[in-house]
Amino acid sequence: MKDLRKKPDNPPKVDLLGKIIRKPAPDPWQFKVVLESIEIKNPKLYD
Amino acid sequence: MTENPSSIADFGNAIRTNKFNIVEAVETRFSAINKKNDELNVFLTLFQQQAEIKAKMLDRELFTGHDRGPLHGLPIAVKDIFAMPDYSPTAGSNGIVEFGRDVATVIGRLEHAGAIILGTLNLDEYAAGGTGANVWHGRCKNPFDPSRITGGSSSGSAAAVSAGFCLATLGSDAGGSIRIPAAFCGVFGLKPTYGRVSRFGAVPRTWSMDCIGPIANNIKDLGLIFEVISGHDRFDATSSQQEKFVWLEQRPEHQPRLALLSHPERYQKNLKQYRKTLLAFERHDCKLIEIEIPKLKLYTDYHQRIVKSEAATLHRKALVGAAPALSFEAESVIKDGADILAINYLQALSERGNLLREFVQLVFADADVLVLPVSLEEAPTYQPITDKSSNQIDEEFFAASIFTRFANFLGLPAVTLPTGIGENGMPTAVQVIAPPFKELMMLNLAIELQSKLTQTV
Repeated sequence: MKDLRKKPDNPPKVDLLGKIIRKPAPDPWQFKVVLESIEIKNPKLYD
Repeated sequence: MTENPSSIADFGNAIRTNKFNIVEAVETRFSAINKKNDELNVFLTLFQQQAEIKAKMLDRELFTGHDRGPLHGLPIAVKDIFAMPDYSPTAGSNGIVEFGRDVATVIGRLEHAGAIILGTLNLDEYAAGGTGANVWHGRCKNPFDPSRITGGSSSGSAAAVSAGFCLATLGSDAGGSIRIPAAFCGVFGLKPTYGRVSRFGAVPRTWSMDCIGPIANNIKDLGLIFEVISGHDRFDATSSQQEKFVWLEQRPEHQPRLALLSHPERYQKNLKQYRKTLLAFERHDCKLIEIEIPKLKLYTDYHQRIVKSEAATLHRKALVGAAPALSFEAESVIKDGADILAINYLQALSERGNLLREFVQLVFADADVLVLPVSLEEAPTYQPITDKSSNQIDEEFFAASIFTRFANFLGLPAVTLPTGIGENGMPTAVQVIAPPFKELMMLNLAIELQSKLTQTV
């Protein structure tokens, strides 16, 4: 099995004060919010 | 006998100008079904008595001036996954799926709009397959050539329209299950944006990706059915609150801009018909924009993690022998999900939103829609798969579904557009894929593309 500690997809970063910061993983159930908020920037076909 | 109208509008005109009444229309449909269903194995259940009673009632309503709209009196049929009054679906299994007194939201909406449900349609067991072969109910056969597969899992839904049994049906699509059989049977099929049609009262395949949609003889009919079945439903937690879809035919103000894969042969070898179709679009002034989709395989891999994990969860009792048995084929497809780690499943779900944002920016920056092949170019001849390992089945489906599964993972709407007849005499098709909730633009653009194909012929 892959050892997630050796090759993390989300490696910890150290800021200037020496604290370890980790970006939180997205909420798996946020997809619907993203789906409904997509905006298309190009000119629309029927506008 | 009544002459068979080829569209919902023609049907509506005929019953409103007394060319035939709804009772006669329903009788004609049952007569056609009873003649050919033994050969094609499209319907699993017929509701003849209830349909005739409802037809009489709807004839009376029309006579007294109560017109329910475009679907008034329209005979339709549905994939056998929906809960109905006094009816529990089989979902293609050897048992039934109990919903108590619940009625599927889409069924309620269709009946309220005046549609008459003639019966339920064959499908792959628990919608977990793509050929239309079903151990318990028999193989659903392609009306174009019964020796060939219909595709699946909405096999009966596509075959019923193709055989002329009814003008429209409902199917469901978790990885191509509306689009593939529609393509193989030469009809039109709509997979809506995730969340746009309620799944309440429908047997799930994968709750994170299932979409219910119509199959019909033309795009306008898809629009009319979609208008009725779509819209928010408080009984489905994933149901979208977006503005209600209203079908409206519109001519585009500029020539369609079509995104396409720069090297689709990397994924599938024979794409002659697809190439020919694109050339026809280009000849008729469509702008073709070649793009790379570097994560196509990743989307499909993530799709598989989700569908397998959720299907194994849904069928966990059957997998340990505590519920009616699954067939060898269905078990082969479903059991692997039990070995997927929770973190791998959740990773796929977690990355879905960001991958969707990235995909939309990449593909729809300059293009209105993406045009891709649907599956194999033509429906293959049926071959039993009982002697194949689950890995072989998986690999074959992976290759044939590379252009369909990612749309379910990303929640995008897509429509199957038939493009003609291929080298083997079977229907060919492309699919048109749009940004989320852009079904109206997508369907109108598909009408435009279809007219360009007709001009070419």
